[in-house]
Amino acid sequence: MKTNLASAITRRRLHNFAANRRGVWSLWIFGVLFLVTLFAEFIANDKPILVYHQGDFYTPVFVQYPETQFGGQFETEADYWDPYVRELIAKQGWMLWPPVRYNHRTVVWDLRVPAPSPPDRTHWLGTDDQARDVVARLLYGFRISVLFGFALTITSAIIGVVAGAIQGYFGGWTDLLFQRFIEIWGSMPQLYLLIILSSIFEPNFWWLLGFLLLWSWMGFVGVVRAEFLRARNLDFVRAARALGVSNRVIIFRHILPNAMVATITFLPFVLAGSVTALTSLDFLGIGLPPGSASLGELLAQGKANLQAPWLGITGFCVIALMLSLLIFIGEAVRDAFDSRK
Amino acid sequence: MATVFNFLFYRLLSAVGVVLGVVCLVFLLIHLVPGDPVEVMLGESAQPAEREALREALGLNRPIGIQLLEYLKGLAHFDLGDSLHAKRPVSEMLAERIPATVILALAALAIAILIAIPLGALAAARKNTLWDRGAMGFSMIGISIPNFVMGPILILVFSVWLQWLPVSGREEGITSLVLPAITLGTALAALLSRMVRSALLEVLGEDFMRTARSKGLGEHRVIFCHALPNAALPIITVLGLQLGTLLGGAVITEFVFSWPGLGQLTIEAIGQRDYPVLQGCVLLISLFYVAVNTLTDLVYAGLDPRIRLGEQ
Repeated sequence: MKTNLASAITRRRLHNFAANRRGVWSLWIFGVLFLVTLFAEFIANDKPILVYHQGDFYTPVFVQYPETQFGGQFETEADYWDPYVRELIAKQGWMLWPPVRYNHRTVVWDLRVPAPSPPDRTHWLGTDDQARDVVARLLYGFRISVLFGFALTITSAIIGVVAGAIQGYFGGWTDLLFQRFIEIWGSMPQLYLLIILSSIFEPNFWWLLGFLLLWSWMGFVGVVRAEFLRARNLDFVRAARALGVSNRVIIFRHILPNAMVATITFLPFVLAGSVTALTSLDFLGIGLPPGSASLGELLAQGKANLQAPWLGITGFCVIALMLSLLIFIGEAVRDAFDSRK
Repeated sequence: MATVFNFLFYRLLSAVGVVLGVVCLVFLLIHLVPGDPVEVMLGESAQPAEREALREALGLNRPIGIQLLEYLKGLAHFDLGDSLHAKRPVSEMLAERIPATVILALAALAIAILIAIPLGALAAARKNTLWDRGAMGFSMIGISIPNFVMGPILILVFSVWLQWLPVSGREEGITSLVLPAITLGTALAALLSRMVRSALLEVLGEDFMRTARSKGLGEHRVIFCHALPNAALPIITVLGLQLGTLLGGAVITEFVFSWPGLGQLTIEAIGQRDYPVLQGCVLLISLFYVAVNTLTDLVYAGLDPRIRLGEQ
């Protein structure tokens, strides 16, 4: 009976989700984009995907081969852009290149106009002011933004849910002290403090994750706490307590599943918020270290190079598209979990 | 009546507590991070004795707890200390910058209201039509585009291509205010238009709406004169809450448009390791937040007795 009921609820949720066509389409588009960027190395890279030379296959994307492997002179890694190396390989084999022959760090030296160069046939969206291909930077930038967003969302959900559960379950002084702390902590101007912290430490991916985590977990506390405050006196919890079930088991096995609905509904919006936070720090120049592929940096370049509108417009379109998709998905998820439907 | 005063008293007391907590936490955070203001002020070539003297003069060589107490003592007299860099009272520097930030926030608020009310009313009046979907889709996009993404694109279109408005900075007259205010106001407009729509929809189902229609009033009059005032309460609450966010969130917009407000001052102060100024900026923004939150709570309590009685 229990499994039937559960699957009926799940079926209804899936049905509700599917009924929101915009959300379903957004999920598909976002999923495909993310999947494509996960394999960015095979789409935009300054190394060939596959090299055939003297009867052997090589995969430069995964392995660094010295130039001597292909009959060159140096022990250093082969530069597949070097005409000399190209000639060596072409003589006794072939190379299979990705569609974009640059990665996010490749500086293109042979531009015909000074960087930033406008879109043309080799650089579909032009190059940025350090002569790096914009398409390549978008692919890698999208990936790191979404991965960062996922990491931040998941870690803050875990911390927030645990904090909310402890507060709501134990109530009393624990709850009171925690609430006062959250009130103070939440009243600190986050953006200002993030700017201060990021200007002092040289942030990398993990530092930034930590900084943003300092505040982002609080978003989850409220709903989980409320659910636990309600559930702690319900019969099934009292029964479990009377049977001598430990607090940990009651919290995680008996009450938490009930509190998860509200949490899951939040996730897509928190993901959008996390991506925005990273992008805004990058835009201010205090985000990921210089050289990293970043959508915020692209936008900042667009603002600094108003004579090169393709930078700003590309950044605007990609970020607006990504965040809109996430919000549309979020709406569909919210519909799916809405018990009134 | 006594319960109302009790509630007021405790709510204000807790607001003061929160502000004190924020002041202490921010003070510790700023002072515990590495980076030496004396080094920045004197340069690397300074003699150790000089540095010591300056540290002594600024009171930076004392234990951090004492420094915090001194700061709190000053705060009680509305003395925020002197800027390490500009050698002027911090309160004076803040006072110079507040008008710019407040004007920007108020202009953004005005723009948000001007966009949101017609848009939300349109969506509610034509519920489930293309108008509704269009308006709500538009607002969804407005919510999802952060202001630092909006800003550069507005500059590109209106300042560079059309050359109607200045690129950045603050000048005499209203032209330099337009773009920053639109940038800051769009997201709020988007949020607000959804609020207006849902609040109106609730009111439109009431009996007195049918009365208004049945006595022959035009749809415009029904919505703007009868429905909107009754739907105003939740809308005003959201507006109040968002004003705090606007003041705090202006820092990025100020950065994008080189707008000389509190956000800019903060970024300058960070570069110069100017603790007192930094502390003052953060304190002021926190004060805004807490004040607005407390006010909203009080307004709520005034309107809904369950809240003030439930606290007992």
